Amino acid sequence: MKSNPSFINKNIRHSLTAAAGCLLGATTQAQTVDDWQTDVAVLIYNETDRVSAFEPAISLKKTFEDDSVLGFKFIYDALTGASHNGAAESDQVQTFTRPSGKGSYETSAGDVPLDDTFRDSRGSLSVNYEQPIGRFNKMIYGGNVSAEHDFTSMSASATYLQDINQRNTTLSVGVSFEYDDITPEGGIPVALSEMQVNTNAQVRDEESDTRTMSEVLFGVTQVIDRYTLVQLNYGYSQSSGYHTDPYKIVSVLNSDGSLNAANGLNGTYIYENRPDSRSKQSLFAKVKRYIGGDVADISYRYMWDDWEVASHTIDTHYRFNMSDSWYIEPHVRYYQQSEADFYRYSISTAEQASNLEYITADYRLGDMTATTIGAKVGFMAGGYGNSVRLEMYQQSGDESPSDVDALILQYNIRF
Amino acid sequence: MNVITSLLLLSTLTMAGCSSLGVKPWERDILAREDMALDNAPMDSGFDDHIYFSKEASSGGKSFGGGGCGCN
Repeated sequence: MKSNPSFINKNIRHSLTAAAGCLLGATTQAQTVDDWQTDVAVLIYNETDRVSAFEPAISLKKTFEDDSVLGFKFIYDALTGASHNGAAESDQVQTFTRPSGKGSYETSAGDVPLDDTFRDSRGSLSVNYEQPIGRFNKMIYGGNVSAEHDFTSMSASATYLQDINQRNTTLSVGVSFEYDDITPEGGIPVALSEMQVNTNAQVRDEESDTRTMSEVLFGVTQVIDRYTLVQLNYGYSQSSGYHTDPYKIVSVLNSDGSLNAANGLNGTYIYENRPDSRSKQSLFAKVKRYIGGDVADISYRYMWDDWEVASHTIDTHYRFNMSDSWYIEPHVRYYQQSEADFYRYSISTAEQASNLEYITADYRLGDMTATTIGAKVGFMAGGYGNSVRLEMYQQSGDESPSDVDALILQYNIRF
Repeated sequence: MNVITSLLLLSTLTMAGCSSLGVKPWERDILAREDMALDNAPMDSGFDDHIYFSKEASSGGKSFGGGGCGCN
């Protein structure tokens, strides 16, 4: 088997290049000037009884003589399956109107209400350009466009990086701006209005709405010693516009928890409403350490926002380099979040009659923990670097809509 | 603002302490390894960011992402 320069870099030229470029080069991968580096990957994401996604992706990267780097990435995302519509489980059969207003679907007693017509495809194109300014600083520019049938997103970013302390410290500051356009199936339902049977007209707002987000990210990367790197980031983002999920509803129940028939349906459901702004902050820390031929990668993120969501994420990888040509990398991730202050699993008819302003029953804004456990195997085949990873992702929360089990399978090849 | 003040203080202390940390240019052989890059598997992290963004209420923190989706 051929030795694998992409796994274990023994090439003196690479070492010198990296030494000269470090730390600025720490976020990029050493590669030979003039070659296009191509990565092709396919991801299969499959939730038990819910969403499935098939995502092929290709990324191209080239380093030029002046050390500038140009990269492109294209991702296609095909989604099918069923998604929780927000309504609570019931011991009675429930009927819901489809988002388009045409047709309906039924949920059996005791089942999580899932809209089984979830189907979408998404295309995303990203461009990145790294431009050295001097020996110790550079800029990274990024642009992204993604589109699906009911959502379009465009974003641009610029990051400045400066090396100090004999290139043992890199300081960075970046800004980004994102613009989203939301055009839901059937138009935007009036927030807090009641869902109607499909033969009635649903009150709607506009056909579409928009959202913008601005973000700033400060970073420090520090070489501790010959074997250890540390990264610290602080991020702040502010978004404004339409944050509501137009497909999500909230159950309005009688005081005894039973369904309250209305509007031609055997239950009462109102369309959710979220605040029209959100500011998020995050602290992120990462340590990479080389341990006797292997590499440990541990990170922690604390995120909090003005919706009262706060979350902890711990992500750990340990790469066992078995030889120059193959490795095994176990991965464990733990995530925990607290619920948004306007999250409710369901509300009562009395609460509906009170002055409700914001409400969602989207379990993704409720109390939740999630774990990911899996491993990746990297190997050389046909002269190319390959990797396969298999992971289990499991979410759980206070109510059964939060209980999601998913399988993640990914294959990569690098040319 | 307390958080930002603390961060600035932490960064200043880190930078002050950094002068005694680090390596000489000829000691970068290990740090230059591809598996020691801060993000040595960008395809994986790109997919992961998208999955977790669409399934959880948190996102970002590491770097600027690859754009939003209608899933959240």
